[in-house]
Amino acid sequence: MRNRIEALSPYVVRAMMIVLMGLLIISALMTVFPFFWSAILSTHSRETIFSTDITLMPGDALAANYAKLLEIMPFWQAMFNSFYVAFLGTTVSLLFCSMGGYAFAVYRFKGKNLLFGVLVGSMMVPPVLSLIPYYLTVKFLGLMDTHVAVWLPFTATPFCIFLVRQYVVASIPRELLESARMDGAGEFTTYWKIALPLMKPVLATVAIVQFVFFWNNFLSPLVVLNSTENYVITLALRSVQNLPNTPWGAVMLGTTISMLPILLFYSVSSKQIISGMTSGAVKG
Amino acid sequence: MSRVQYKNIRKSFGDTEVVRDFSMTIEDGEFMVLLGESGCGKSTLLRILAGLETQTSGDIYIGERCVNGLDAKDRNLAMVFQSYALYPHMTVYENIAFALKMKKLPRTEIDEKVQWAAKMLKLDTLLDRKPKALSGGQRQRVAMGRAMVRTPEVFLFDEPLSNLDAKLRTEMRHEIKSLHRKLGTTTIYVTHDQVEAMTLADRIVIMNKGVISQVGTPEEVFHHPANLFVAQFIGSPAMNIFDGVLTRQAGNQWVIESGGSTLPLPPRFHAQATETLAVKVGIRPSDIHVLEGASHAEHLHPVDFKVEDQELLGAAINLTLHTGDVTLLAEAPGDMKFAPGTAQRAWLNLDALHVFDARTGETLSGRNTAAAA
Repeated sequence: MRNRIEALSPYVVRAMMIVLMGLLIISALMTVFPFFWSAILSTHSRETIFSTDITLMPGDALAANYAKLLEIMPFWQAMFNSFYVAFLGTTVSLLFCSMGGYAFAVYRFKGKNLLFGVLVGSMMVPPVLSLIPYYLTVKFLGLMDTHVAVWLPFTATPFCIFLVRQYVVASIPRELLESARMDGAGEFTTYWKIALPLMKPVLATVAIVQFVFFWNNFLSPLVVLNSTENYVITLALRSVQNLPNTPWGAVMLGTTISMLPILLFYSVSSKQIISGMTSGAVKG
Repeated sequence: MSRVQYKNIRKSFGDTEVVRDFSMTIEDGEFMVLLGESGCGKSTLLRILAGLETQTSGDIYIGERCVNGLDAKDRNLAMVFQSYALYPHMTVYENIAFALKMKKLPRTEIDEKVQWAAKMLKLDTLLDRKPKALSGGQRQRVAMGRAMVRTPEVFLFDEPLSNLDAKLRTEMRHEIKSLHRKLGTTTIYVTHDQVEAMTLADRIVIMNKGVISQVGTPEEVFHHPANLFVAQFIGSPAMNIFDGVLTRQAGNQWVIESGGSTLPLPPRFHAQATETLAVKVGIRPSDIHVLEGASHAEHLHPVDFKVEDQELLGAAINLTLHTGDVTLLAEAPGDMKFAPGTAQRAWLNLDALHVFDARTGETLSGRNTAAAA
């Protein structure tokens, strides 16, 4: 492949590169445009949004939109709720998924392979299918309209347990854990003091995956949350779209603000996300 | 410090039986080496003692205590692994101190012990480093330090030197030996390297396919191998083995006939010689002399060979000699000259001749030695 490219004249190679770059730039713009568009719209009033001229320039209605946003929904309350749910959910996920993955990687027990097979298999099931059982379970437990119902059921996810398991198998030598046991460490101490610190890279991945999931989660809050003060941000933003004369500028402002934490989170840790996603695959 | 007893230990993984009825007592303070090829069950025996594997049947005693079913953490044994198994996220100091912290010793006592071990192993300047900033030899020392500070009842070594280069290996071997001399702790050491076994051990257990082939001091297993396996396993270059037939000649004289020549049977086998028997004869290359000067001694038996090949090793020459259908390797002094194809007389040291029953592989003379161990 490489040789074939080298055999071509430099002009042809250059032309190909330009075409390729052009395609990449166009698709990048297509991806970024909705985000950019919602940011622009958040500075416009309803009138300019629905006027015939499409403008890409920022408008002057930002302050009015912000006032409107706070008027139509408890915006910061919803932001806080989202953060609360995502934070608690992520923290507990780290504990459960690391324990589950560690157990699958280290312990020998009856039915382990079957259990692991079921776990991995369950990743193939579309989440929507489990919505009704989820609703019934939450109702049975009396957790309707609580935040626990939004984060707790998703703290032990097959994908993250799988991720941790692969990482432990590939990167933590069995002898290390045996050595800890010989040194007098019990099961929990071995996990907590030896295995857990060595799992940092995969834990970072789990944290990112889970935080983004909880932040973006819309379906399960929609099913279980019904009082406005409990709404998470996704739900709050959706709920105002039913208002007569939806104040789109305000909604767009809310959407834009709600994206910021995730964008910030991602820009800080994108390297970690990529290395974490591939770590199990490349090593061992 | 304690005596260790294996009593009728068996271990199977699925359908494969890796240890078959292993019984053995390791005395208090003894340095015992388990020697054998990979897959002979030696590491499994160590891991069973450590509590990392559970025996299929049989009992393990440490001191007077039966430790069957006791968790690894409660056995008070220290193990040095082949990969050292240092905790990568901890400094050298924390690595050595870990077991002591688990015991919840006071901070000052931990510090005292870590410093003592670090000094003994010349690690005192490296205490703040992480394992990945250490060389192989230093990591090995940390692993030993970690075992030492525990003052365990028994030290277990699982091929601890296999990851080091030849020079370091010799150095660490000496350190392990001198450490054992200083601390006097019962030690069980698993290796497939006979040089390590010979130099370190008080006694060697030679394992073959899950059973003990021979137990004895390095001298015993070298000079009086109990069977063909041990004879061929111990010694480098390996012992020459050739087929022969034990035959009675006129006048009640027993001889070994082999490849057209006849060797007198050394006196120590006479008691066992009762019938004509197919045997395997063994002689070490160093017990075949080519120097004229030694020829008068009575225990030296001359044989005429043809030189097939020679290999100069520096101080010595490995000489391939041939007669009839027997080919032997002999060790000659490095300053001698040999030409392939020429005739060469050599003298076999009959005192060092080993005769084994060809059918069972057991020695004809040393049965008592094996039984005593």
